[in-house]
Amino acid sequence: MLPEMKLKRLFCTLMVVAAILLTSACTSVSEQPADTHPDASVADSVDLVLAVARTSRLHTAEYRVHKIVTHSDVKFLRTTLLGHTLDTRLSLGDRKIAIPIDVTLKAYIDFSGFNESQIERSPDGQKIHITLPDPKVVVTSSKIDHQSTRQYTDLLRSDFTDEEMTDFTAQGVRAILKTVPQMGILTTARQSAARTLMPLIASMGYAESDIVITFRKEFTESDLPQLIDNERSVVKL
Amino acid sequence: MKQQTDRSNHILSNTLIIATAIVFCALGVRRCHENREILDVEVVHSDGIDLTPVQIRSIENIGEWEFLAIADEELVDSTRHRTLGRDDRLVRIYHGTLRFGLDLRQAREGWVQTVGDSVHLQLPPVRLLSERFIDEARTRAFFESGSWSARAKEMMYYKAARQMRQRCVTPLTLLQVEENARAELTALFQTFGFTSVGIDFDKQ
Repeated sequence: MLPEMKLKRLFCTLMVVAAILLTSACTSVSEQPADTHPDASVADSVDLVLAVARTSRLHTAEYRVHKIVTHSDVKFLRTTLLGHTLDTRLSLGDRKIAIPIDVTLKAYIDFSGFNESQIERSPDGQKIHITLPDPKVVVTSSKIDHQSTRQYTDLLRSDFTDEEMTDFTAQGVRAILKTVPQMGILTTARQSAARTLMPLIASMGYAESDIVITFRKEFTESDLPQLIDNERSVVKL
Repeated sequence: MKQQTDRSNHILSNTLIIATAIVFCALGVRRCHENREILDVEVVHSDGIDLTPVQIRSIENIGEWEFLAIADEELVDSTRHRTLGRDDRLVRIYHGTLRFGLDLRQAREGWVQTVGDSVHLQLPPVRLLSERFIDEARTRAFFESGSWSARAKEMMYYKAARQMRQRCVTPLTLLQVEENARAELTALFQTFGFTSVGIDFDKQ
């Protein structure tokens, strides 16, 4: 075989190997979003009435809070090289938005699991000690002040979409929930529960001085963050 | 002859160098794609909110006993017709929880009467406990085309509230609330040792 023929064959073989490698590289990229479910684009069906729940909750305190949710949208060019990330701010124009929101929080005691083990009476039946279920806090409403919402966008950028604004609002409510421990709502809930229940128990024939209403334990501020429920709107105290 | 062999060797070595370089390049591209940490360039933008204070506007002691909660979603859409071009549309799905029960602050004096192991409760009428029941932070922006004013969004909010009221605040719902209240309060007072519990509601 002539040397030129050998060379051509070798060159062709290497080209085929390179082509296979490149093709497989591209294929692996296109397969990366494999976690995208075929039905991901289908929105959840809207059940108009989602749930009817029988409850027995005594709401004892109501907090109305206000927050101005702000967001600054800045674009960065993120370069990742061998595990090192470098962000470079791009001068493509910034966007800013301020959304005032009003949120109502209520502290409540759930009596649905209340039973005789939580009531203690003195042997002579004159005194009563009631251990209340743990109080919880729920977001009962949130409202965006659309009229006071302000946004500033540079010429090269588009306005914030309704979806983006809704997302920022949801983040704002989550931020409010994180501040629940600092609001003193626990103390208010306890005092208000006693104020509401005391006359009720007194009307059963007990003197107010003989009634003791307590919670299961002495909650401290440090207990609160660990007791946040999975459901976004409910926080156990 | 020797000159021809030298030329062939030269071509062979050059070809091998080029081909090896191409293979290494291909391997490099593959590794880059497989492990994005080697080299990755992308445009990103901040999507988190800034840290701002929370202001408590009011604190109120209340005594509302909730016996029924209805979680509702309402789809509200708004269309703005244009003379030229496509109409603008905004579709939002609102989420709200309507809580029903009774407000103990409205109870009359002496609403609990006990005689021996019997108790009688004269309760205020059951009602929707709060008119603010929409959790707008859980609203889903379903579709948006065109730009929408604050006033249009406010109107959609109130339309959603109206729809929720119409769907959930019905005589049947209030009857259900009364029934639940009877069952729950009877169980509660039996826990306190009363064997007979009578409950009446004030007229609406």
